[in-house]
Amino acid sequence: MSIGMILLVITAILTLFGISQRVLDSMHLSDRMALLLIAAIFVGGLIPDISITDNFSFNIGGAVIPLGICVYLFIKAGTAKERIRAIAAALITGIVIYALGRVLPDEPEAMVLDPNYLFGIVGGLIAYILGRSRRSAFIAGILGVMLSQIINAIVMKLQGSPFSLNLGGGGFFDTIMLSGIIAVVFAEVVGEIIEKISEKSKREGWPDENKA
Amino acid sequence: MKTRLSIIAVLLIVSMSVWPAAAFADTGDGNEYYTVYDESGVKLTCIGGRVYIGDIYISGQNAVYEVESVDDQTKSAIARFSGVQALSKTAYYDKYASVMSNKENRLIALYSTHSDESYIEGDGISSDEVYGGIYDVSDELKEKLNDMGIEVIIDYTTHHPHDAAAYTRSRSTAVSLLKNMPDAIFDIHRDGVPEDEYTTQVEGEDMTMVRLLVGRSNPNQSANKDFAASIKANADEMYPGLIKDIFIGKGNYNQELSPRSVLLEFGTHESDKEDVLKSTEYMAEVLSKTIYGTTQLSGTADEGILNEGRPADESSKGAGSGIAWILGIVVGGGLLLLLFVNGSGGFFDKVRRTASELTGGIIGKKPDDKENGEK
Repeated sequence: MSIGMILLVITAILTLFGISQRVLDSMHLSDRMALLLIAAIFVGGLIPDISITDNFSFNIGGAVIPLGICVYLFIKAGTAKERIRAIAAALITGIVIYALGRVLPDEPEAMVLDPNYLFGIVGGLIAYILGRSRRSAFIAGILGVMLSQIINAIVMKLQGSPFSLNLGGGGFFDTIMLSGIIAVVFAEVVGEIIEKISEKSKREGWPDENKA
Repeated sequence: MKTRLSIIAVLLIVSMSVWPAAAFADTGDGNEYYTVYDESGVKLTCIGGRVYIGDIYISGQNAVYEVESVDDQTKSAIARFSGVQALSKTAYYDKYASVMSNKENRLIALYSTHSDESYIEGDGISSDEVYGGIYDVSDELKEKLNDMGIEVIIDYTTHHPHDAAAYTRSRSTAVSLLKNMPDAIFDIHRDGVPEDEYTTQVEGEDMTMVRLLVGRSNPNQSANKDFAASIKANADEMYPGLIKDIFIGKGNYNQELSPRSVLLEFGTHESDKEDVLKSTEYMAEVLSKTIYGTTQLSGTADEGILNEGRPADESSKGAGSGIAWILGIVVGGGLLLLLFVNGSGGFFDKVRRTASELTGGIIGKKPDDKENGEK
């Protein structure tokens, strides 16, 4: 069973048991909506990719639905500031992921952390630093990976190398979805730990309006 | 905002500086490889890229070593001998032959994550960011497998450049191939170590060896390892010297997508491509024997392997233990986080309420009206 499938099952279980309620609340999603989206991503992933050109295609479950969730979260963002931060986090994450892809070791046996997990952590970290936001973390995780793939395709095109831009072709198993989920989980875990420590030391944290 | 951007910049610089200096992206053209020695200083092998403590090396003679220390300055590692593994006892086809050898539609999937990999002797270049010579190896392997009645699908999608994100790009390719329900899926590569590491003779013919790579950071690693071990066990019996060794390193190589997934390294960038192509004929027979229990056309099987039945599915067991391991960590981590956030009182209260909701109030504590109203 792949990491993607395991994450899907775990996410569904956590949602059913209400454990992920805090995260879903911050993302303005009900349990039912979350489960429907998980099912839609899974089923959408099974539908053949939609080809726009010979070297550009996308998958409903792996790209369109996650992108739709990002748009929903963007619209539901509390303030204009948060929207700007979400866009900034996605752009920075995209550029950073592309750069990491170029400079990190190219063989899995030489990688400290697998890119499938690293890219999500990067998205979660950047989004958290920029706005302590779980919503931004998801947007950064999803759009960051998509942007990095688009940047790579553009660079390959400019170099005259054949390229294939397949957004979300792996469905729920794709790096895009893995990054989105890992980014949110990372932001939640790190956020809670930091906020708990801050509370205990009775120091003032970030303004409440930033927390999402 | 400025402060936060500064934090991001500092974090990036720090993370870059702590990354192994020797481990930056290359094209696998022999500039970056580590030499592994045993405890007495005898050279065991060369590995393209960095090795890590905990990596497992199974030699051509089935001697098992575990990497204990790594020196980045000298690009070397010391591995401890931990015994000789009898790979044939866990032969993969013994478990599956009764099912697979009767299969009418035999199907194997091939792709190349490092689409640029080429052979200097044959392609004139070690890395070609158009279509690497590695695809000729896949084509040749396909032809030989076709001769045995096995259908082969090759995905020619390129995943340039040869960098850390190549495996995230090839993930879509692997998933797409798996939608065809192949019996096995192979990521075809060539190595980036000196040529003499791979030179061999099989049945008096000069050719190159094949290395099997398995990722140990994936939930299917146990099943993938069994599969690789079985390929080697069959090859050792059929064509001794064809399989170089098995390396079980960090990473997942997208092998978590299928229990019957292995990365195959056909020779090195310095190998004569003709020698590499020769090895595909023998490798095709080994793969057919491993997966289907026969090297004959579909619908036939070698005597003595049809009536063994299908014992416990070891490959599923391997995948199952991986799932249990990850589920345990994530669910355990989630519960700990809940405990941390809500405190023990709040945590047990939440568990009682969830139990109540799931059992219609038979078990646990019913949510009070006030809370229901809030919802």
